[in-house]
Amino acid sequence: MGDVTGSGDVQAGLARLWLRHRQEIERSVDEITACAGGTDDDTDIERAEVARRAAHRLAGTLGTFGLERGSQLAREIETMLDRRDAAVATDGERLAVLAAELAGCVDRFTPPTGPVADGRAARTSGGLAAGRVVGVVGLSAATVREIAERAAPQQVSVQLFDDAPSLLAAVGEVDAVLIDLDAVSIADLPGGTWPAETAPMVALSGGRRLSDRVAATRYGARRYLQAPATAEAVLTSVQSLWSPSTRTGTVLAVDDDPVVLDTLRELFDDSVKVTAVDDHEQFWMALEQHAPDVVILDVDMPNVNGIELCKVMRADDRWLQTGIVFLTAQGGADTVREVFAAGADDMVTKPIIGPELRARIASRLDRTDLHRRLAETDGLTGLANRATARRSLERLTEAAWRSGRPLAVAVIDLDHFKRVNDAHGHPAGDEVLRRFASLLLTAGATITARWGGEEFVAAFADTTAGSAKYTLQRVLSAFRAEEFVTADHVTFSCSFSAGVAELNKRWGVNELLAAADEALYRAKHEGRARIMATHE
Amino acid sequence: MSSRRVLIIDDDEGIRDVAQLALELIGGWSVTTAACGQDGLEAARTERPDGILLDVMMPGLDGPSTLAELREDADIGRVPVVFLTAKVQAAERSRFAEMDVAGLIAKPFDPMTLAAQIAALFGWET
Repeated sequence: MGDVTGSGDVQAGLARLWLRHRQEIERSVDEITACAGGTDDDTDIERAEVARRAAHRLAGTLGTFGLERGSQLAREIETMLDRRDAAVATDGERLAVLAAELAGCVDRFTPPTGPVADGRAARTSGGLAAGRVVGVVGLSAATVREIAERAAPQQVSVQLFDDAPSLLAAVGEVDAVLIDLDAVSIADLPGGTWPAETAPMVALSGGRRLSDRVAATRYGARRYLQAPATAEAVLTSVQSLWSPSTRTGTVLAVDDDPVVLDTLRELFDDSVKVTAVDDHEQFWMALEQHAPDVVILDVDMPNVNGIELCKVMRADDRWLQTGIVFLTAQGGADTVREVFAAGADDMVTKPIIGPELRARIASRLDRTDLHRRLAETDGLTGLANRATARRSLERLTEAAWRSGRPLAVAVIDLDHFKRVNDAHGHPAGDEVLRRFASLLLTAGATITARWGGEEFVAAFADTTAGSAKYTLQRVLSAFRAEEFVTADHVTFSCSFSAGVAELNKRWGVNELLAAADEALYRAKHEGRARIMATHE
Repeated sequence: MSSRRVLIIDDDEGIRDVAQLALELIGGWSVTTAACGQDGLEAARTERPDGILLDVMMPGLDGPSTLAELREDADIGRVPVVFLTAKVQAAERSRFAEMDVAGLIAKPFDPMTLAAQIAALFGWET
């Protein structure tokens, strides 16, 4: 087991541990700095002891993370403090110099991340190794640190590269890249397109033109973030790149060959749960019990054949979306036709070739995940769609009744949106909707949904109508300040109106929405570009 | 290679984390950690490790005292121990060497070679 994991995993793990422990390490450095700057009195003796312990600790730790110079400095400081009572006056200045150098080298240190042999498989192996690395170019060290602090609890570490070529050289070692296109121009980026299969890219840019987005997307950006973006938004965007392959999938396999079942179990790491059964009776029970994302069937099985099982599954609504992959020894044209006619999604011929089967099943898992997400989100904006939002609203309302806590709901409508579409075309209108959606997300509502057309709904749990209104005012100011530029360089801007209602005891979701709607109507009537609450 | 079980006893969380990472990934061993001598002895009794990595300088029960208690235990008294120490001066080295440990590893250690060093001291095949 030790022979298959590359040193890159250890280094990626170290980078993550560095982030996790950096605060304590910096605290120790501060303790030494405080002592170095101190004067000669009683508190100073205490401080010196604190600093000596801090130095001892850093001497033992820093080198382990790869910061050998830090260990040397800390060791020297520790030795000095050990005999401080004798030589304090002469050593004071030297101590300050060492402390400053130590602080500087801890501050600048980013742990190296080594080459990763088979990153995905190895990194998902669990334990301390399950971390991801984001390579960053063009952002300030302060921003990177802010992102890193948010990312660390989620096992994501962030590494800043000097320029795009050095990031490209290390692209195999990172799981995603974040490039600030305002600092790095696409024209200066290496190669024709970004190797997005190796490390998908998020582009961050203040550019408001559609052409900026198109250029970034053409270069290979999977996500485009409008700058300035919060660290949270950056992290969410980066993580969305990974979501299809990081989700846990459940695979149910039915095969009468124990070798096949064992192979299947070994083929997947912890991210995929494989349940294997060897006859059809167990199969139905397991199907009900595990509700698998993908089912693997064999064409030839005793008693009942896989094609029959497949047909029966497809005849039941519950299993319509489930991926079905066939394993078969005979790949003849008749079998192929029969298998797909029965409703299978894919077919793999025996003998099983591990990587191929794994790839095919992984693709099925992604697909079922995609189906689910498509069913629940609005394609244009990525927000929850109406049906999903409605279900969530029902739950929120019930929770608010039970807890007695307030719940505010806003119905939002973009002003004169039809004019935008008419004057600037539908692509411009879509851009406005997308942009508004991402601004609305910054309000931090519990539910943010596209209700339909240019109408949106945001629900704020544990929030009064007044407070929700205040939050939306900020969104409105930001939205009005946005300048949209069409492909023909026409600049325009937009606004929205909103009505906010707060849940009261007699209301259900419909009454709540109706009250917000009524307030929206008044906001429109009063001249648009405003937010009104029901009591106004 | 059968998976070895190693117990790390160190009061520094950073050291525990890094050592655990290195031994799990490079050694392929299963690792348990404890933050003080007392917890370490508990863990040794329940986990029955094949080897123990023991920090010398810890508040409370320090490395040598933990080792002394361990050696008196009928069940786990024979588990091999390696000391982890930040200070290795000649006098200390010989003092530690008399204490029935398989060896000393200096802090800071190199995570890339830690497993190999431990395996060599314990005489484990890698």
